Amino acid sequence: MKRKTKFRYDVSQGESVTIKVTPIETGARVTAADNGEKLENSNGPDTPTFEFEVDQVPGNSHFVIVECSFLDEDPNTAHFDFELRGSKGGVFKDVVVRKTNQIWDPEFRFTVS
Amino acid sequence: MVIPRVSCRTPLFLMTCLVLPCNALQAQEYENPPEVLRDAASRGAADILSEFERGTQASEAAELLDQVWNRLVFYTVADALPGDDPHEVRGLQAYRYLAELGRTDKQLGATSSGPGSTSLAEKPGIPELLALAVEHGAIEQSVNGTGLTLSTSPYAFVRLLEPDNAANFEQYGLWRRLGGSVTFDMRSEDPTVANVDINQVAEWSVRVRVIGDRSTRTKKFTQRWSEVVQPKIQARLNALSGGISKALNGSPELQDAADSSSEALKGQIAGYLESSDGVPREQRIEIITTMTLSALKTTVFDPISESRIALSEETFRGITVAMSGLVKAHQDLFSAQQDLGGILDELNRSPLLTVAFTHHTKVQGSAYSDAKLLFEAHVAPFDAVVNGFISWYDHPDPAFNQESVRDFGGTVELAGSVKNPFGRSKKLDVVEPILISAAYQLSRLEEANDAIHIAQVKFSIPVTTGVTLPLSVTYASRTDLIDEDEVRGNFGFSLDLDKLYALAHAFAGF
Repeated sequence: MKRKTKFRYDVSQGESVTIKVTPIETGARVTAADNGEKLENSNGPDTPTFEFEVDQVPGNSHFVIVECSFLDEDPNTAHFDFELRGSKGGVFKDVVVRKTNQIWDPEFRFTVS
Repeated sequence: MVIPRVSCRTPLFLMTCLVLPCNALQAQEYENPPEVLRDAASRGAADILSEFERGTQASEAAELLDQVWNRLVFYTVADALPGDDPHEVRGLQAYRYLAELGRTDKQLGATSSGPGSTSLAEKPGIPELLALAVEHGAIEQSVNGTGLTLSTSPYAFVRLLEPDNAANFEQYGLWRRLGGSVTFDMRSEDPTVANVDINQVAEWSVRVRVIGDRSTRTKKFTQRWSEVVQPKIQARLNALSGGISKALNGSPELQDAADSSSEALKGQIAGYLESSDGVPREQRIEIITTMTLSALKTTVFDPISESRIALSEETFRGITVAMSGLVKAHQDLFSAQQDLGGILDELNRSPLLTVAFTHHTKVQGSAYSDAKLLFEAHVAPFDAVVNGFISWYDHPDPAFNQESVRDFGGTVELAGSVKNPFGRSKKLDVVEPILISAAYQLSRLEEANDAIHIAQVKFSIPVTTGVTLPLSVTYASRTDLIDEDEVRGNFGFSLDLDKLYALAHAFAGF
């Protein structure tokens, strides 16, 4: 998996992509979907983890949206740390969804190269 | 379907053209875009600016456009397609993330015998963050006072040292069970933290929560949220990601146009960020939003509506189905707001038992301490608070007929709520209800060899988010110093910093 931007990646057919989300100062309320399908949390409730296998044809993309749900009683410093990992290489840990952000449901695009 | 095309933003668009490079001058204004499109573009613009303000390079900050770009393209395509079904995008209201206000179990003011207290019964909740309450008036005292109460939990300090993730939240659960507060007598000073002095400490209190946990971070609450609320969020994400996939994977031509447009736009946004230092934040967000909408108009809306980019029948059908799903998901999410309120109510009504120790440093009279059992539970249709207490003097003064035990007794409070006509500035704002409570306390004052009966009716009126106006009327058969019955009215206001922080976020960028 190669990064183009924090939210856009090039992947290979058959590659497995893992998105691990760690809640800080808030509860583990995370929901994800990939091209219209629910992504199941494959980990425990403390660190929601979503995994999918790249099955699109070259040129097409997996459009993944991950919504992090804050509550008003969460402190202003609450955030979710993301870790994106490709089974054929590439680990990226610098995506953060903060409570102070306006967007709590960022899109990730994984394009088959 | 008639789509109005009246623009009220033309002056801003012209201003935008003045600050953009020459190629952007060819852009066209997206007049009257769908609400959901404009809102998403505005939120994305606010995040880009916030990232830049944190010191990130302009080009890197502009890449945050990618976190919303695909949905912007999808909304624009739906708006541009012929026929009524895709145009359901114009009926979509801006998406609001689910959140809720309304924790009422935290004891923000002084304990019932502190200076300026308006509370007869004490609630057993413990705020995790510093909470500040300034109250005016008095109960159980013969003089009026103004108290400033600071409350916190040791867990607030633990998370200064350790990451406050789910694992540590469980591991350090004991620290969350502890709470403490200090009340300062502010009669001669401004009631602000900056003006407090150690000599003004009127009382300090330590609490241990024995039974119950009302945190929204517990596994139990997260499980309830997964059962009740998450399916509705999931439905929206499925519809949105499905619609994006249908539009962009279904048309390589559209995908190329959208990709080229986003790359060019990111460059323009980065250039604007670097050249707009000193421009007010709201204006910068508005200009980035306008730039984004203009790019979508030129490179997506016009080519689709003019059939310069043709979509297959299958793609058209896929977009239509996804848009219908999205409309339904948005409607369901409005009811999910109530569902979330429901499970928060469940949480807030779960039983709590707390043991509290308080030391009262009396300005007049002898210092004394008390121990209390504080219990709160929901007894339909009321919330019931039951306190039992005993107090003792540090140094009993025989001249005043004082013995070791000062007094003992119990308090029962029943509370309910009614609709609040205040505190709503927008139709969708969540309004906290007015709380009405009735309480009765029976105690025995040893030095007077007399029983004291106190009855109270109290109203807590949330006037705006994080600010509550407590009003109460109290009858007492006597006070601790004077053997005469009295009726007294008290008023004050309470600030909840947690909610004020939340409010600051909620309105940022709008």
